[in-house]
Amino acid sequence: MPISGLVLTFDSPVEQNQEALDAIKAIPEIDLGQANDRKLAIVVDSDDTIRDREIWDTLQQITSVTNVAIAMVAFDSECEEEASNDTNSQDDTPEDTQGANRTNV
Amino acid sequence: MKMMNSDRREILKSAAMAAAGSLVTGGSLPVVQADPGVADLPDGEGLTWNKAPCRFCGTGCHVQVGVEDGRVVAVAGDKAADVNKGLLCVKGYHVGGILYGEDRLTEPLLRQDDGTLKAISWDEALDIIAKRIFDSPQTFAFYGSGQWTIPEGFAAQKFMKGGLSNNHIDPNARLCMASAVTGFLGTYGVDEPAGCYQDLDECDVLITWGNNPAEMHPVLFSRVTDRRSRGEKVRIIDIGTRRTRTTDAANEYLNMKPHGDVAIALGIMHLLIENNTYDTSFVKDHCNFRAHPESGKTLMGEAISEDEFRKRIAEYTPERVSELSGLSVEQIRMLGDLFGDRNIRITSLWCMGMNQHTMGTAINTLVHGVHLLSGHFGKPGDSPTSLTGQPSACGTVREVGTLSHALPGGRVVANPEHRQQCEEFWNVPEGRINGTPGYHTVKMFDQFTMPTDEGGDITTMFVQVTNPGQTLPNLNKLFNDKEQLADKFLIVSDVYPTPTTALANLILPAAMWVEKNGMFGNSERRTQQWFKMVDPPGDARDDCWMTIAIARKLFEMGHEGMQDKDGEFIFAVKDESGEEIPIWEFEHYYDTNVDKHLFEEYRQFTTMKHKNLAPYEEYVKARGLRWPVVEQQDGSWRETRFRFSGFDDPFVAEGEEFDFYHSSTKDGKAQIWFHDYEPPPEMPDEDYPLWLCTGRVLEHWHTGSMTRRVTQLSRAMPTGYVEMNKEDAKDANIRQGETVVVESRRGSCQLPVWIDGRGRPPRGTIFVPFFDETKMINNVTLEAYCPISKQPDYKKCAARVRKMTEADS
Repeated sequence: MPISGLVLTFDSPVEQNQEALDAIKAIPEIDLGQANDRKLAIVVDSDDTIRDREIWDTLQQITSVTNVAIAMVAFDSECEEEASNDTNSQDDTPEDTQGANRTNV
Repeated sequence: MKMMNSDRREILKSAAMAAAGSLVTGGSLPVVQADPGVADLPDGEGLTWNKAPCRFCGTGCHVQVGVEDGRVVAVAGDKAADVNKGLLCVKGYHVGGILYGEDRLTEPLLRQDDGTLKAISWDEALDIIAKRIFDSPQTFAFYGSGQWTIPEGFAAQKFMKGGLSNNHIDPNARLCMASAVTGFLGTYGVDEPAGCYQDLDECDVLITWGNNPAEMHPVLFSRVTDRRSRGEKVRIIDIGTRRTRTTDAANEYLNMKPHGDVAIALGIMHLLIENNTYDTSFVKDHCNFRAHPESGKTLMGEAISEDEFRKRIAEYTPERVSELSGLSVEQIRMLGDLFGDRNIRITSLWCMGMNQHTMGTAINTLVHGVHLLSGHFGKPGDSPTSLTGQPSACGTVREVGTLSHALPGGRVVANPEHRQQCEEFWNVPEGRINGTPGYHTVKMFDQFTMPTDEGGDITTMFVQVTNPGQTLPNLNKLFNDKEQLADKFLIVSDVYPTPTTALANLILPAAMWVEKNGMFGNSERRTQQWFKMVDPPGDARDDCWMTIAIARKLFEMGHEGMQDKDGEFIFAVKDESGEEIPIWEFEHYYDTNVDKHLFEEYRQFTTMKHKNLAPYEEYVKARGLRWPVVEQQDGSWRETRFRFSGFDDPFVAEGEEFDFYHSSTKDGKAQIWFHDYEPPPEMPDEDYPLWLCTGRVLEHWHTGSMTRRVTQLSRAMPTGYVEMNKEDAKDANIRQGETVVVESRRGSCQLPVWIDGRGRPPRGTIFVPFFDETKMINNVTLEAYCPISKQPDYKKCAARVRKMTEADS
């Protein structure tokens, strides 16, 4: 259930980026909020952390979006529980060959 | 998947939209004594929001913590906070998750003879600790932290120096910023930066000296990159030993050899003199020259004339500096020209690269000297600024003075007058404070892991809020030997199992962050306060309470040091009717605000070195205040952004442009130091041909004991690695992702290889982060340290990389 409040920064005033806005509106998990100059507030409410990550990656790949900043993240045990079942790691980092081993008491 | 209650979900979505919307609408934000600022974060049924500083780095971002049913459920950037203006980094917005790792320590555990751990009561645990201290108070050591809250550090400091007459107390901050302290003391006679984060908003040029703020202080760095996105021109010059994310944002990258920073600073000063572009009037009016005496290195050195300085600096020609530093002559001349231009504003930033350095004090004083000599000082945007890595390295360690030689408020144990002042504040008998400095960190652990019959005279150690079993250099010498020493007793208070608890005899479960009241002091002299919001799990308790409860046990056993001059308990707190509140009993600890009592006691010390703090209640109202904080005629309290500058510092006399009022030469002047370049203590050779540099990553904070429990962060950066140059890897027939052995003369560590990854080391250099406790790179590092600050150098030693098959043979 990841819920996050994000601020997108465009390379020009928000209203001049209609194509990008259409692409963002097409993502059903996103609600658009206030816009001011080159910044746009959005909320992402996705079903799981994998989808959350996909949306994050999609936003970052929109060419006119120069920055994605986080304003708030909600989390709880359900989210953690679900994420802990997901063993995928980011493509560009070395895989954890030993798992998330940690010291036991 | 369980479904979240739809009302709650809507409330959290509404809060998320409000938080994001507030950043979009922007506008100027209150700096001092901000209003609550949470009106636009909607409360729901049972959902409440309160302020707290982030638990991680020294930036000191403020967060709004959403609590529901006794549990932290959301974290938002605090838009009322001047430091972060509502933004957070990837760690910051997951900070709430660190409370809820599934393996939290919840009960005291005593190690048995067979190595297993047995749960015991708090009373049993306190009895064991008190008896060991009572039987041998002078062989006890307390190892603390820049993550201690200010009241926790003050209580530990009073317990050791004002109670046990024992100066063997030192913090992990010795490993991260001790050289910055000695650099400030040697230059200005008083510690901590003169400027503040506003310098980042107003500089024309930002120089990062061996510093990677894009990953280590990302919110601060975003203040600079945001200026660019608004169309402002900010030139970033990154001087480093490897390319990082900071390099990606830089206009110029200057690749230096390890230790090259010392030569570069000398080279800039040489050019300022040679070109006659130094600020003659600033130097004449506000600076002296200084160097070490021939008899040896000292913190304060001795005076030298300007002529003598000119003579010595003449040796550091661009050609010689190029040879020593690896920069080209043109690059050195470019830096010299830059500092010679007083129409621009230059801010220098540094952190571990200059501090974890066997010439740490020297390079710190040299960079201050570059700014002083060039007059790039004391105006917004013109500043030498060191950053800290921990949330209260400044507040708790540098200001409370939880170092083996120090006392609160900039006092030192070796000075009889300082001891007397502190004894009076603490109301303890004259002579209670020991005048001999205790062991610094490396020495403390050396003595603890040395057999008693060989002179290892530390037999019991209490570690709070830190993880030396992962962070000490050369662990095989300084920590791992503990396992074989049956008469050495290690007590560790922590929130999760760590490599340090793995060797502990007694483990104490601790409360953390918003599970307790607290105060931190960040990198820009900003003191911050928060209240407890949720209960800790199980029987976990506050570190400050542990110290007070141990002291009370000793008091009841008759230890004289636990009594003040009037025979009262040194931590006595009384209610309005004069009755003592039994704060040593945890069920009564929150009957009063112990933090407030300790802070108000500590506050008395702070005026002696013009680090004045406001009353506790002022910090309740504010998102932190930068000291010195001085009361105004109307009863309000005013913070200070720029120390020593007449336009802002209340302690500079009216009409004066600058006054270094704690000058070591007692003439209001700062010291410009000369140091000769010295080579690193260990350099690559035939057997160990590579430079090894260690450090941190964006996703994990220090040893990862908290952030590796947050699934999102752990997934983003799941494992430690060794960063290699592509050509070096090719020559050694090493493939991307292959597990290799990184080894030095001291130990080894197995790691997967990351070629052309996030950082890009030049040929002959490898980089390994230290966050992963399954891959202990500090088995490999060197414990050599700066002779003045005693801070070890984690940034350079000789190492080699071998394929697993070669290592086996």
